[in-house]
Amino acid sequence: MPEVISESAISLTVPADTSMMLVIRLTTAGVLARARLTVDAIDDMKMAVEEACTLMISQQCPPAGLCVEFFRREDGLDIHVHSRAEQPCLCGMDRAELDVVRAILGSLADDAQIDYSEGKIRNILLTKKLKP
Amino acid sequence: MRNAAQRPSIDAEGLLREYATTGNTAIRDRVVEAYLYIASIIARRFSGRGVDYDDLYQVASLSLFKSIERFDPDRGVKFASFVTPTMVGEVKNYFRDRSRLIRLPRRGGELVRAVEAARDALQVELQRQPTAEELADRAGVPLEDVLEALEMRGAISPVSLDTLPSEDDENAPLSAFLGQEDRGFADFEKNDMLRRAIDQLDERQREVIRLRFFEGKGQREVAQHIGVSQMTVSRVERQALASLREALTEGEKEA
Repeated sequence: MPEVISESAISLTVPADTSMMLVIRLTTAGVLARARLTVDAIDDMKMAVEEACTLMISQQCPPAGLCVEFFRREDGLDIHVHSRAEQPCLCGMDRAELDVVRAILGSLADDAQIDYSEGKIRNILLTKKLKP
Repeated sequence: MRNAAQRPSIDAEGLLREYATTGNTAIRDRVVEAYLYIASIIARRFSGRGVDYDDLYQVASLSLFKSIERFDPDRGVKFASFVTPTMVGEVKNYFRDRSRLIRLPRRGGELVRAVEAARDALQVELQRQPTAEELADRAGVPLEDVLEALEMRGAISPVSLDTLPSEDDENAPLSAFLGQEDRGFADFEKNDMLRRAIDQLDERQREVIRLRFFEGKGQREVAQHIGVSQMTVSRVERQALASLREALTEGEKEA
């Protein structure tokens, strides 16, 4: 997760529950629309963020809350998804499946990185490039 | 970081190179079996959003076959890296196509239609996908409504054909109201073909056919009616039926 919260960052904190997906999707759509992304790109990124959140929720020991943070950069947008708790929980997912999920996220966003170590997901970073 | 799992212990690229040369489907099947687990993971991850696991598994699996046919081993890309985005793309398209087939509830339906119409028009004009702001401008609605409409498109479920239109119609599900092909057209065509085939017969054959099959007379009666032996009627009838059969078979082939 990002160390320094930028002033332009948008941060959404929600209970880790699938019923929150609509809120997350609509917020994502709103942020991306402000960044003037096309509707297809918005659709893809909504799916990517939802998938990242689903991954966090479906862990062996799911967190109580989720943070979704949006950071605008000069040439793109970073979206971080991580647990609200300070200590990440145990993922419990088969490594091969995690790799496929990473590939799924990567095919929806321009880049996807899962910060995974010691069997725990610390952060998921989705990047969308913006045209100048 | 973006490569898919390397779970299979087979040399997919080598096998697919061999398959491209030999066309041996047994080799293709080995690759399919080794990579079906990706279809299963994708289907599992995307299910629960209004589409069943089985449908998604089928879409993703079919896409695996397509990927195998399209994959070029000489491009230096790993098959696993190629197949996952392809499957995700197919699943995405499935979601999109499916949402366009769905009958929308009246509330929101007009908004979605307006946004979809604006989207189609702008796509042609701009030669690219429009942004949400451009859509809002064109459709004359606030940006929030556009985002809501885009969300609504995928969030609703199709109406089952087994749905009862009202609680009173217990025995009449929606499927009972579907139209079906009118058999009358086919019958009309057949009758027309038969009439034209009969016109091709000679006068005696036409008379025998008319009396035998349109007036329902027996061979003996027909023989008495036209003043010939029953054996002659039988022979004429046989020839006439053979001619008709031939003419109708030709007619069906042309149709």
